[in-house]
Amino acid sequence: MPEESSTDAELVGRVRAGDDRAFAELIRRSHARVFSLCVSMLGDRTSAEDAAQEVFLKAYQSLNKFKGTSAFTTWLYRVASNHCLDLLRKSARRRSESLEAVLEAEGDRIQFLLKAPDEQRQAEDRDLVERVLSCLPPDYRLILTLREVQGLSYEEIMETMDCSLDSVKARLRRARESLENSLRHFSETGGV
Amino acid sequence: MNDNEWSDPRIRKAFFKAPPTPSAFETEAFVSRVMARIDESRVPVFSPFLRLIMARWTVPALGLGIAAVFLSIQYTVPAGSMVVNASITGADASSAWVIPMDNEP
Repeated sequence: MPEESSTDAELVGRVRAGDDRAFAELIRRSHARVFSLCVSMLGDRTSAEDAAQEVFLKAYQSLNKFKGTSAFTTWLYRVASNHCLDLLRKSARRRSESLEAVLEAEGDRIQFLLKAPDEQRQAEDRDLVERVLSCLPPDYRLILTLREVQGLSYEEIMETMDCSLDSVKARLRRARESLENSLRHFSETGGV
Repeated sequence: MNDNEWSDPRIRKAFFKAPPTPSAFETEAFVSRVMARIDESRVPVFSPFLRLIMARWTVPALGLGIAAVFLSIQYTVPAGSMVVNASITGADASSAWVIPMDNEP
């Protein structure tokens, strides 16, 4: 059977039977989403490329742990999320810059970032966004990324993060509040 | 605040933009890199034998081993030929195993 017309579950079965071409097709199908998650979590494409490779390698090596109770993509998201969290926690230990320091140093740029329409934003704003997001606790950054960038539903986040629906809602609310409280000054001066 | 809303929606727009989607070409290149890494990672599974074959000292060691076996065969006198020799010289077959001394009295 050609790879393109097979379901994810069928492809997983074929990989388990030793067919590596089936795994190549699984990568092809989920590369964009996994890479997007890694870029959003890690902030640069080079680190994201390395991380995405590690994610697929881990997924291949631990495919026997995939029970099939959730969709393959959800399980893969969990592998990717855990890998990115590990990387973020390691880099958070090395980071010396606090969110308050970034906001104080880059106040004008942040105000412009919030005020300017999308098309006016400069490429260098990406660096500023990354500096702000890297100051968030890794757990907050993950849940905000899953919801706001990846567009996952609460149920999908629940399965990805292996927690209850109430926990997802509570974590999401705390993460949003944390970022909004830090940016409150800029929001208010921005005239919202 | 509702758990589905930001009090300032501009924060969401400013900080949570989806990165550009990789092109089909980038995806194919990525698939090749991951599959190559999977192939590499598989080698250690069979490693004890493969590592032995692929080691740098395997060829010299094999050559030395073959030479040693060849030389030991060349300098070994077959037992059958000793019996034949003994019958020609009229000696007892078991005496063929005794190396004669040149200056034996």
